[in-house]
Amino acid sequence: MKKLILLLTIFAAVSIAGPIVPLPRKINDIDIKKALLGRKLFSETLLSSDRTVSCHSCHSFDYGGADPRIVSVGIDEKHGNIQSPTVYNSRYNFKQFWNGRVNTLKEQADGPTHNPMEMGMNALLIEKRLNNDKEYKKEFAAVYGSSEIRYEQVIDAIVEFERALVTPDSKFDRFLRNEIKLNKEEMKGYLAFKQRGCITCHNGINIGENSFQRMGLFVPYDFNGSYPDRHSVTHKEQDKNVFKVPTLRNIELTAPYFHDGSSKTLDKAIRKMSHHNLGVNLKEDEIHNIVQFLKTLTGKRPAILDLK
Amino acid sequence: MNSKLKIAIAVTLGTASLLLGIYFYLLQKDFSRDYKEVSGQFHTLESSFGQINYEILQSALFAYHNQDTISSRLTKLRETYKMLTESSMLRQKQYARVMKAVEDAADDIDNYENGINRYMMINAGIKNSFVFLASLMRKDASSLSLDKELQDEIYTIIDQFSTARRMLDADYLDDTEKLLEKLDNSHLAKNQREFIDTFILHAKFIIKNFPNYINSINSLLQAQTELNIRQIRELFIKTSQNDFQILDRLAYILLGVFIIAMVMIISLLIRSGIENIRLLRLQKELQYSLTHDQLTGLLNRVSYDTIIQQTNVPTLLLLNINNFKHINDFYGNETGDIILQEISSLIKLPLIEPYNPKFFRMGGDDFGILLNKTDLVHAERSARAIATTIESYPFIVDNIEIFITVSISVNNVDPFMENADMALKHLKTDYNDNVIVFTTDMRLKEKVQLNIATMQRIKSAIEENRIVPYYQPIFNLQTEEVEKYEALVRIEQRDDKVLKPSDFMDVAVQTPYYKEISNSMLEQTIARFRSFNYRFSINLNMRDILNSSFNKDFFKILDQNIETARRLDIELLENEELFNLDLVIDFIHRVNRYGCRVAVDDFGSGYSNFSYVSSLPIDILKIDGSLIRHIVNDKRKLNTVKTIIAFAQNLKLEIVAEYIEDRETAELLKSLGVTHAQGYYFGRPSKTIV
Repeated sequence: MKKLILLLTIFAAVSIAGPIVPLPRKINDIDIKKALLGRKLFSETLLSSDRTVSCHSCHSFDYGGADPRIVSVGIDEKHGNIQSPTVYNSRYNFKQFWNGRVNTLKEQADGPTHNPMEMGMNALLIEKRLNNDKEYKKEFAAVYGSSEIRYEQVIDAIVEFERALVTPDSKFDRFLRNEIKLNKEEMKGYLAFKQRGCITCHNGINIGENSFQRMGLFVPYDFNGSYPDRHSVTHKEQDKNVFKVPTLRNIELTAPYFHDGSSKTLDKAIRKMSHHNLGVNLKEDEIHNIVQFLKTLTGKRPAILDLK
Repeated sequence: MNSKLKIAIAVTLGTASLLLGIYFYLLQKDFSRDYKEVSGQFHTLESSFGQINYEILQSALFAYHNQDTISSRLTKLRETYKMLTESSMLRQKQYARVMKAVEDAADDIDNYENGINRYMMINAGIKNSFVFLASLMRKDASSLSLDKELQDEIYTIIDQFSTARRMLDADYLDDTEKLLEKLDNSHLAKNQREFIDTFILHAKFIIKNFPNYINSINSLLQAQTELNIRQIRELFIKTSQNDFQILDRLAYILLGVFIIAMVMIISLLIRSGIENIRLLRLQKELQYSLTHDQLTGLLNRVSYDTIIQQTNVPTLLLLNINNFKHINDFYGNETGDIILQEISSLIKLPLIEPYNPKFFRMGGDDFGILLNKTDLVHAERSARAIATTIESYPFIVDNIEIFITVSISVNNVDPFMENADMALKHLKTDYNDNVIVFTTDMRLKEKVQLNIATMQRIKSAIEENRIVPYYQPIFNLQTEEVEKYEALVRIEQRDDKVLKPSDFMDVAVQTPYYKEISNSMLEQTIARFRSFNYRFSINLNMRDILNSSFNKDFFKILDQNIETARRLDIELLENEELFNLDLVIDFIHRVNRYGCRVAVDDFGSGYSNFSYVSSLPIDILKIDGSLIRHIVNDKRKLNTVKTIIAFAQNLKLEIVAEYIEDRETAELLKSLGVTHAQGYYFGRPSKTIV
């Protein structure tokens, strides 16, 4: 172990990568035909038991891939129990759902379709409905080459679409690539973001989404056990009020904020976060600057959405 | 073990080693692929821990750290672990223990992952707090004009924190809490109070979480999980050694089988090579023994038959040793054999080239010399040279010189062998010479001699009453009973051989003995049937009935046996010679008056003449045997027989078929309307009547 530490100190200087990494400008690992089929399915209400809800109902492309409502509304006007996270850039998330209960998008997509609160469906019914649709049969046959549509194929197509939902070329990414400069306020905001320790958790390609953290690390945050937190997965006392650190990309578009949707604006969210999780009360100009910085994280609308 | 079995075993072994080879190849390919895959996965898993630990230490040290690396390495670790649990190789029975250990490690992996998640949570707070404590002092504290004592106190606390952090040792924070309390109790201005509160919040956070933080780092770095995985990997490698050993053993077996198969095949090849050589030699020997005489080494009779056909203008010299039987009897077969061998050399001595001579031993003491394209004068000269050579050669037997004489015939007329043989016989009986040239008149002489012999046989048979009638039954096909008998002439020789008419009648008819034979047959037959109450028949030639002397004797006998003659039938044999039809008709009428019936015999053979038969007042028609014998299979003969039957039925003649040898023919004939039948199927001619 001593050796390892020694090694570390020697290589420390060279091994520092930037704490935030820009999104790739172009993603090359997408099967476009499949993704387009997934796009159609993403907005398909047939996938919900009463044909009222689709994936898009709670992951709206008009709201940064998330839901402007505090909690989403599923079939039969049923209300969800947590704020809907964005579907954008979710391929880079280390785990899915607020409490990280699954590891992959494939597992994630399987969740809401079966959730009685959300879409309330089962695989057989989905297969039956889609197989009754001549157009879908044709489209699936073109992609998968099989005459009968299977549930796995439905999930596979949706996942392929979701993998294409990447928002490149945000102002900040371009700054990171040395293409442009941030203005004074944005730059100050970025510095504060680093100095005040936001970056300790919000780092990596998705500016978050690579660790868990307790809501209220310094100053305890209201806990009533009604939200599905990490504790509901691990059943460990220390995981109460612990959630996956969310992405800050496109944060401007995805209000309201936090798992409980308790902050409607960015400045309120920053104030809440710094108090509870950083143990500091930021000054007004700092908050203003950080908001300016956060607004540079809004990327381009995913290309797949407008692809013909 | 026979060679077929050996070949079968070699082929089986060869095939087996081939199949085994393919099997082995696939097996080891599969195995080494699986082995590489699984051990690679173990390796990835193990190295993941090191990489993650490295990242963890980095995240502990650096204020800004991209945690994506940790999460992606964790994902990789989890995926690798999942692949291991799904590995088809580990699912095999012999890896059950490894699999169990892998499955048991699931909790370890989960704990490890949770440990990292927990570490990252604490690390974020601790790191932020340290940053705060440092930067607070630098940025804020300076503007707050804290008094010296308070400042010193704060520096002491910060120093304790930084030492604790540097040493990763919570012990340095033992009295920090007291210092904080003191700080908290100080009297402060409002803006100072706010600063001190934040300071205390972070300091307390560190004090509270630092021991956990260190524990969490230590437990991650000491990584029991990593150790467990290494142990599982070692268990896997140990277990797989068994498979490697099995593969090793299989390889040896394979090599063994292969070598055995090769050895067998090679030995079979060698053996078959030897066998082939032996067979070839045997074949040569066989060929030689087929074409050569074993004793003398000359060509044999079989060769002669082949060679004579390939010779354009052949002249054959046939040599026979005079009284060789005597030599053999007197000196013994061994001496005889030696003499034959010596003669086989002697006949080659006289120079009879350029006639391309070929020397044969024809069998026994007969030698042949075949010359090509020579004339009789030269050939005879050669024959004499050979005779002289042999006859002047002293054969030494038991120190005694003996001399041998030979007879040689010379012939250039086909059939070469037969003619030469005939000439040799002439030489032996008629001549006083040792060489003879065949001439065609020798053959005539031969025939005459044969005729004379036959005549002498007939003569002595008559003198010694050896002309004997044999009787053959004639069946009525309707009643299926014997109705009458035909008397057939036979000569019983002294040596118990029985001569048939074909053996002597041709000669007999040329002689006065013929009449005597006929009379004798008639007398004996009538005598026999006098007391035997069946009809019977005798054979007469057309020529007989035209002979007045015969007629006289014939009717005289009939007159003397009026009663018996009533049951007599006369079978007239057709004849190519012209005859007086009226005289025949007269004869028939005359015998009819005695109660005799007349049959035409052998109808359908050579001279059959429907017109004369229809003009004779006969009662019976006998169909010739040559037609009957093949009637079942020969459609033309069947049609001829049908015609004859129709003809006879029209004339209301009784029909007798001869030479019936089986049931099928008998039934066919019966169905065609034949009323009477004779032949071996019904009964052979016999001296006695049963």
